Amino acid sequence: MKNIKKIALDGVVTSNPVLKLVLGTCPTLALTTLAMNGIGMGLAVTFVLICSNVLVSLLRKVIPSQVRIPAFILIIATFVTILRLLLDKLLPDLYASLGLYLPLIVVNCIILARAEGFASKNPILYSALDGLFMGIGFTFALTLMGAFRELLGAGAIFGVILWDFKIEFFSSSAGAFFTFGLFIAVFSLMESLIAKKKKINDYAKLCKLKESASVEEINAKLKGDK
Amino acid sequence: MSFFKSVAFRCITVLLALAVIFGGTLAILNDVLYVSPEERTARAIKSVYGVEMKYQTRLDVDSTNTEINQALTCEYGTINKIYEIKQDGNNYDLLFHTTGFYGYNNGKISLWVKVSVNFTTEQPTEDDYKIDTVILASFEKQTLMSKFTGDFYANFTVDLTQEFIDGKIFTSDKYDTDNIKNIITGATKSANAACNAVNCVLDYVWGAN
Repeated sequence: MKNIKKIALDGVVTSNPVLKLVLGTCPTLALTTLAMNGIGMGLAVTFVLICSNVLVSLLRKVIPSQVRIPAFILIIATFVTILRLLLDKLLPDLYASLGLYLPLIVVNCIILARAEGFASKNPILYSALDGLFMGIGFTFALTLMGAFRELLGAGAIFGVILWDFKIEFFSSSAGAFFTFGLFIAVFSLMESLIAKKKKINDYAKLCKLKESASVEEINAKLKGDK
Repeated sequence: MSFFKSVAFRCITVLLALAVIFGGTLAILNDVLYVSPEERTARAIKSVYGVEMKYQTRLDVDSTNTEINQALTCEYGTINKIYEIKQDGNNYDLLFHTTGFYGYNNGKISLWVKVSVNFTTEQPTEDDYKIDTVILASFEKQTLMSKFTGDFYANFTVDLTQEFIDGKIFTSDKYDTDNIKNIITGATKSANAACNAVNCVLDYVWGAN
């Protein structure tokens, strides 16, 4: 249970693929003009992440380490092709809006990184969960950025026009870089604030303990808290 | 014999097995999830009308029927498909899939252009035609397509029938005073390709020059 909680926190917050690891930058910058595009791309990547992680984990003892990278690429490319076929058949509008960036999922660093760094070393369940939460983290970041840019660049949210006021800069490539930088800065700031607060809480606990306990007891307590 | 126990043999076997299994799976899925040209046409018509409509093909460059499988070329681009969609009485719509040349980086823009034909006489005259809808179908090499909002495409659908009869065409040249300007500032070359795509339809319907 502790492992699952760690995987979830890693995927969505502490190792967020977009805002913390700065991976998958190409679709992040190109597709976040609309919030809906962010959701679409996020879900597409989540599907490929889960499927490829499961298969890589399943075959981790079969694939020789010397050919693991071509084997992983083969697996990822297969799932991306399946996804393309499915979207073209069932969701043609989404397929058209994702355009070129859909086949480019094959070379998305997040997927290969998770296959190499996690799925090839962990059992199936944990690998599937890692894919799911990394996908959620990716979707979350892309949707948030898309909503922000759509709101300021088009005066709309999820296609619903809210006002006539537009700052076209946010719909442009430069606006994408600016928004990306802004989001990374805000995310890092929030993370450092949370870490600082945690440090203060730990210190306060330590001070309280110091009044009534021995050094061994304090150490044991802090260890338990961790 | 030692080769069959080596790592090299295992590597080749695993990669080959993966390629064969995945290749087979994709071949089956490709067949199961195949989207036919008819289905694609129905989707395109739905994107224009909002609902599925019955249509008759007048021209289709992808058709296997040799009588209709040719593109109509004009000075500015090509018309790849023309569908006729029946409306009330004698009235009907002509839906064009048209591609305009000379965009940014010598790229192309393809549009769906719906022309309605409303007439009470036996045969329609040239002022019975009107451009109703223009929708982006696809583009090549154009990097500033996000600048093209609905307003740009709406400029093509303003009632300009008399101007078309007089031989005017759309232009993205701001110094051109003889024609109808439809320009996106900062993306004039892409606007030129879009104008050319519509001009091809003008050429077909009104014989523009």
